[in-house]
Amino acid sequence: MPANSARQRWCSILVTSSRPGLVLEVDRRTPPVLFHYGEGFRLERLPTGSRIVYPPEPVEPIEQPEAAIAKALDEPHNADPLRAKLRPGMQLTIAFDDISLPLPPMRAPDARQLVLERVLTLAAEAGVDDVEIVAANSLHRRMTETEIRHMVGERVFRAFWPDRLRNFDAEDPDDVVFVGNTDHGEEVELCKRAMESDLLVYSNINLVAMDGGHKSVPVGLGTYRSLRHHHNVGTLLESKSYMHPEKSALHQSANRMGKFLADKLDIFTVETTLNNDAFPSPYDFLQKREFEWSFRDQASYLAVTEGLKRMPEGLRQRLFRSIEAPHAIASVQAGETEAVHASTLDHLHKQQVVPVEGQADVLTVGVPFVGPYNVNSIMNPILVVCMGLGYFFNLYRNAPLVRKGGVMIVAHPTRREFHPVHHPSYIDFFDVVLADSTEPKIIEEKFEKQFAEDEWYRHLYRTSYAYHGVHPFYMWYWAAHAMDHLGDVIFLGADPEVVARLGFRTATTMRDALEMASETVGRRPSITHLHCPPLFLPEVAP
Amino acid sequence: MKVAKGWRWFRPSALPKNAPIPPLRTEGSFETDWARRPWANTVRDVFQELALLPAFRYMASPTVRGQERLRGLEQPIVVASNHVSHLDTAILLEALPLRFRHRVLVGAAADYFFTGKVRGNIAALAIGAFPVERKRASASSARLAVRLVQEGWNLILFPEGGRSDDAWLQELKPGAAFVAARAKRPLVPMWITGTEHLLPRGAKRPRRGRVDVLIGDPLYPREGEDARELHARFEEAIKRLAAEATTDWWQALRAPDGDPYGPDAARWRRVWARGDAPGRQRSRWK
Amino acid sequence: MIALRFSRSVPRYAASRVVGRFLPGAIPEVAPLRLAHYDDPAPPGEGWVRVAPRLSGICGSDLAMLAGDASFYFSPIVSTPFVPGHEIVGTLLDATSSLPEGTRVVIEPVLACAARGIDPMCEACARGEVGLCERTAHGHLEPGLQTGFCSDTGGGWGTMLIAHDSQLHAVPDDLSDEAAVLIEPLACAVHAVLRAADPGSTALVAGAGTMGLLTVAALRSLLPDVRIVAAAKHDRQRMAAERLGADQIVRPDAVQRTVRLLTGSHMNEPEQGAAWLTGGVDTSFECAGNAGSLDTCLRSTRPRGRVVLVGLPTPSRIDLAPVWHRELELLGAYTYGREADGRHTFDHAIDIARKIDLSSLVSATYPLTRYEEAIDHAMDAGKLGSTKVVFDLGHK
Repeated sequence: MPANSARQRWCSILVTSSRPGLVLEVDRRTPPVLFHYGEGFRLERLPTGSRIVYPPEPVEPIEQPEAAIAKALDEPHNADPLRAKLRPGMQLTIAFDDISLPLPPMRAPDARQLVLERVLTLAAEAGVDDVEIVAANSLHRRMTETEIRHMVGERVFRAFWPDRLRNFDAEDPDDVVFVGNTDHGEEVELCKRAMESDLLVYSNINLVAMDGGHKSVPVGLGTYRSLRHHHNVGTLLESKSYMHPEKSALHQSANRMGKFLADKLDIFTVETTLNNDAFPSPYDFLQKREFEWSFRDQASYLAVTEGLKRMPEGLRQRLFRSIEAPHAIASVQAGETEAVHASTLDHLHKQQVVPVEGQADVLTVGVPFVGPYNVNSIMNPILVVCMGLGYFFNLYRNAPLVRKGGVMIVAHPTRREFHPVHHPSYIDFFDVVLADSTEPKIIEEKFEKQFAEDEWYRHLYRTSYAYHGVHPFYMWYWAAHAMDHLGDVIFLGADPEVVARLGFRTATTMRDALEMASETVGRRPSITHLHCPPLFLPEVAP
Repeated sequence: MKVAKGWRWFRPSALPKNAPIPPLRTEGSFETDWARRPWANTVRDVFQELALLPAFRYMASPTVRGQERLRGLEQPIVVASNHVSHLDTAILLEALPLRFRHRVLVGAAADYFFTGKVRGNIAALAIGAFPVERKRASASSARLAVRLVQEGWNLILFPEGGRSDDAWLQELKPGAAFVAARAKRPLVPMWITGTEHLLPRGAKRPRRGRVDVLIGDPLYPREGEDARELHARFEEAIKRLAAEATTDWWQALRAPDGDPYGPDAARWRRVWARGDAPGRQRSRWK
Repeated sequence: MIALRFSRSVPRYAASRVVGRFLPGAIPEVAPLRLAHYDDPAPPGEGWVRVAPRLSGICGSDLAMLAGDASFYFSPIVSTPFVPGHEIVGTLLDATSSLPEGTRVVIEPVLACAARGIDPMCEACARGEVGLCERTAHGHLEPGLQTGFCSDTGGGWGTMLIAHDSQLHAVPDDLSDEAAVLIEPLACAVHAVLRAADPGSTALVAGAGTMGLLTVAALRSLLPDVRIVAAAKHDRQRMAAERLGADQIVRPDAVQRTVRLLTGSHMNEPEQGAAWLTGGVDTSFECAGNAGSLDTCLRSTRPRGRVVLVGLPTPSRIDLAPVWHRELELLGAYTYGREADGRHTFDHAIDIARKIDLSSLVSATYPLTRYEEAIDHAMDAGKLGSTKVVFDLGHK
C-alpha cells in the first residue's frame, strides 16, 4: 500500500506531456473518486481492492493543423490528390458529421471548419461552381443556424447558407434515392444530391472507435429504410462491441453498405482524430486523477459543486451547455475510405487504449451531463440508459469490463424531464411503450413501426428540431447487449419512480448499491470503476 | 360648447361620395423638409456626436485614410461610395471632417426607408435621410437632390443603388454624377472595406469588427463636361480607389487583377473570394 | 323525521361562495344546512308511498349547490326549503300496487308528469323520457326537478321521504346496499353512453371521480370493443379506472399526447391556451364538471366527434372555437328515461351492477349527525383516495 501511494506521488513529480492510461488499485489512502452525476458530481469512496481505470492524458496535438490538413489532401492514402479530382462544371457535395460529435462540443475553430475551408479553397481555385454542403445527421435532429455557424465557421456559413448549406432530411422524398441491395439483402437508400454528385467529400471526426470508415456515408446520409437493417435488436446483440469494429455486427452491415456505395460513388474521406482534452479550465480537475489534485483543483471542485447546489435549474443548464472542450486535432488523414480508416484507428488507439487485466463482478460509472443525443438539450431517462448501458458498457475491446451476469452501477439523477422540442417521441416512448414492456425484442415488434411511421413525428423531424420518431427505440436497443449480459443494473441517486418504469432499481448511496448488488455478486465483489469522460478505450484481457 | 354629432374624434373624416379622390402619395414624395430645419439639424448633430458615432466607433474601430485630400475643399460637396451595409452611412459620417458633418444629408432608398411614417421620420431626423427612388425612373429625386446641394447641403449618395449581396462592386448608376454636374459641385469618391463583416445584408444584429474607409481625390466638374463624362471619370476613380484600398490589406484570396466587380462565378465563390473578417482568430492551438 | 334541510338564505349563499374560494373545508359550517326534527312529508294523493332511506349518496351537484357554485338556471324548478339527497336506496314503509311493504327499492328521483298528477302528460313523458319533462314546476307538488330538490317530498338525507309509484324500482336480492346506492349515478352514465358512444369507437373519459369511473364501467359493459382512455389525477382513481376496464389511464396533462399517439393525428400549440389535436377520439365524456376538463375534451375530439357533458357543469368561461372549427357535437346527458332500445335506463344499470362489483366505489359511510365531516370528505374525495361518500340512515 505505501508503495502504491509512493509510486503515485513519483508519477506526479515526473510530469511528462501525455502519460498513458492507468489502472489504479484502491487502498485506504486513496481519496474518494469523482463520479459524473448528470449536471453535477459526486465523490464516492470505493471499497479497498477496487480498480479505477483512468484515461490516458491528451496526446500532443498537431502544431499547424491547417498545414497538416492541406498536406493530407495533397497526399492522400490510396487515391488521387483532391486537387486532381476537382474541375470546373462538376457537382461537388461535402458532407460532415453532425453535432453529436465531439463531446463536449469543440471550441472554435472546429475541426470540420478547418477541413471544409481547405476543401473549399481548393474548389475555388479549381473553379467548381456547383457545391452543396450537407450535414450528415441521418435520423438525428436538424441543427440550428447557430449550431451550424459555430461548426462550419463564419466564412463558410456566409458563403453557403441557406440554400447551399443544409441539414440532411431523411424523410424528404425528393432528396432520397434507393440505390440497391447489398449481397446480404440490406437496402441502401441515400441522399440523392450526394448520390448524383461527381465527388462526395466526407469530413469526419473520429471521437471513438465506433465512428468513421465505411460507416459514415451509409449511416449519416441514410434513411430509416436503410438503417433498420443494422439498427435492430438482433444486430446490436451481436455487436460486441461497438468500439471493436471487427467484432461488431453493426459495423459489418454498415461496411457492406459502404463498400457497395464506394463502387458506385466517388467518395473522398477526410478523417480527423482529436486528443481527449475534454474540459476547459476551471473544469480541468475533471480530467485529472484525484490523487494528483492540487490545492487549486480541490478548490475548483468545491466551488463548482457548491455553486451548482445553489443555482436555479435554468442557470445550471446554461452553465453546462456553455462548456466548450479544448479538443485539438491529433491526426488527419484523407483519401480512400478503408485505407484512411485503418490509419485513423491507429492514431485513435494510440490516444485512447488502456490495457486492463481481467473482468470484474461490478462495473461502476457516472453518466455525465452530455451525450451524443442531448447536446444543448436535456438528458432524459432513456438517454441515461443509452449512455450508461449502451455506450459506457460497450466501451471496451475484446471483452466487457464486467463479467457475464455481473452488476453495473450507474450514477445519474434520472429525473423525469424531457426536452419537448428535441425529444417529443421520447416522452411517448417513456409513457406508453415502457409502461407496456422494457424488453427490447417485444418493444421492437409491438411499437417500432407505429413510431417510425407516425406522421406527426415525421413532421416535427422535418420542420422542427426533433429527433426522428423511431430514435428512442434505437436508444433502447443500444442497451440490449448490456441487458443481455448483465445480471443486474442498479442506479445511484436516481428518481425511484422513473427508474422503476425503466425496469431497474436505485440506491441512494454507494454502500446501499453494493448491498443490493450482493444479491447477485456476493458480499465481496471485484469492482472496476470507469473514470470517464474523457473518453478512452479499455482493452480487456479476460 | 356643442360639437356637431357624428364628429369622429381623432380619426380622419369619412370622404363623401362625390368628393374628388385625393392623389396617391408615393414613398418618393415623403416630406422631409421639416428635418432640415435648424432645430432638427441641431437635434441630429447632438444625436450623431453623442450617441451614434461613439457607438459606431466601439463596434467598428474605424480607420479613415486620405483625409488630406479634403483639405481646402469648400462646402457643399457630393460624396459617393460603394454600398455593402447599413453601417456605411455611419462610416462615411465618421470620415467627413466636422465642418462637413454638420450639414450633411443622405440619399436613402425610398422603397425601404420611407414606406412607413414612423420609419421615414426617424430616418430623416437621425441621419438626415431624403427619399431617392430607385425602383422607378423618376426625375423628382434627382431634382430634390440638386436643389438640396444648391441650398448648401452636403450629400452622401450610393451609386450602386442598393447594398451588395456578396460585397463586390455592382453596376454604378450615373445619379451622383448627374447631381454633381448639375449643381457644379465637387464629387468625392470613397471606398469602404469591412462593413460586410459587421452587418451584412440580411443580418439582424451587428457584430464587432474593423472598418476602413479610403477617401479619394475630389472630381471637379470641368467646363462643358456633361453628367455622362463625369460619371465615366467617377467609375475610373472608384476602381483605382478599390485597388488602392485592398492591395495592402489582408484578403486571403483576391479576385484576379484586383477587379472590384469580383470573379465571374457562382455566388459562393464570389463570397469566398472576399476572405475572412480581419482580426478573427484563426488558430488557437497551443 | 330527522333530516338535513337546505334553506334559502342570501347571506349564507354569499358566505359559502367566499369561503368556498379560500377555505373549502369550512363550507359545511357556513352553508344553510340544518339537522333537526321536521314534520313528516304528507302524500299529496293517490299512488304515493312512504320510503325509509337506508343509504343515500352525496353527489357532485349537491356539493356544488352547497358551495354556491350551482347555476341560477335551476332556481325556478327548485323549491326551498328542501331535504337534499337523490341517490337513494330504501325500504318501503307502505305497500304499493305491485310491491309489498318492506321491499328494498331504489328511487328514480325525477318528479315528472306522472308523479305530479298532470294529465295529459307532456310530450317527453309520453315518450317515456321523463328526464326531459317540461312540467317539473307544475302539478300538485311544489316545483322541484327531482326528489331532493323539492320541499314537498323530503329527500335522501333524512329518515323518511315520500315517493310516487312511478319512481320506484325494486332492487334484486343479490345486490348489496352499497351497489344499489350507485344505481342512480350509474344510470346517468349509462344514459350518456347510450346517447353518444358508438361501437368500435375511441372514447376519452375526462375525470375519474364517481361519474368518470361509472362511465368507464358503463362503456366497458355496453360497448365492449370501445377503446377507452381515462384521465385520472389521483393514484387510487387510476387503479379503480384500470380495474373497471379502461385501456389507457393517463394524467390530465398528458391526455393530448396520449390521444395524439393513439389516433395518429397532429398537434397544434397556440401561443395562448392549451394545445389541440387535428384528429382525436370519436367521443369524449366530460365527467369532472369543470372548465379545464371540458376544454381538454373539446381539443382532443376528432372533427364531427361528440363531446358529452355527463356531470353538472359549473358556470364557466369556455373557448368555443374548437366546437365551431371542427364541427363538434356538444351534447348534454341528463338523468335517464326510456332508452332507444325500449328498456328503462335503470334496468340497464341494474344489469351492469349485478355483473361488476361496484360496491368498492362507496368509500365511506357517515351517519347524519356527522354530516359536516361527510360533506368535507366528499369535497376532497379524489385527493383522499375516495370515490363516493354516502349517508347511512340506520334503517335496516
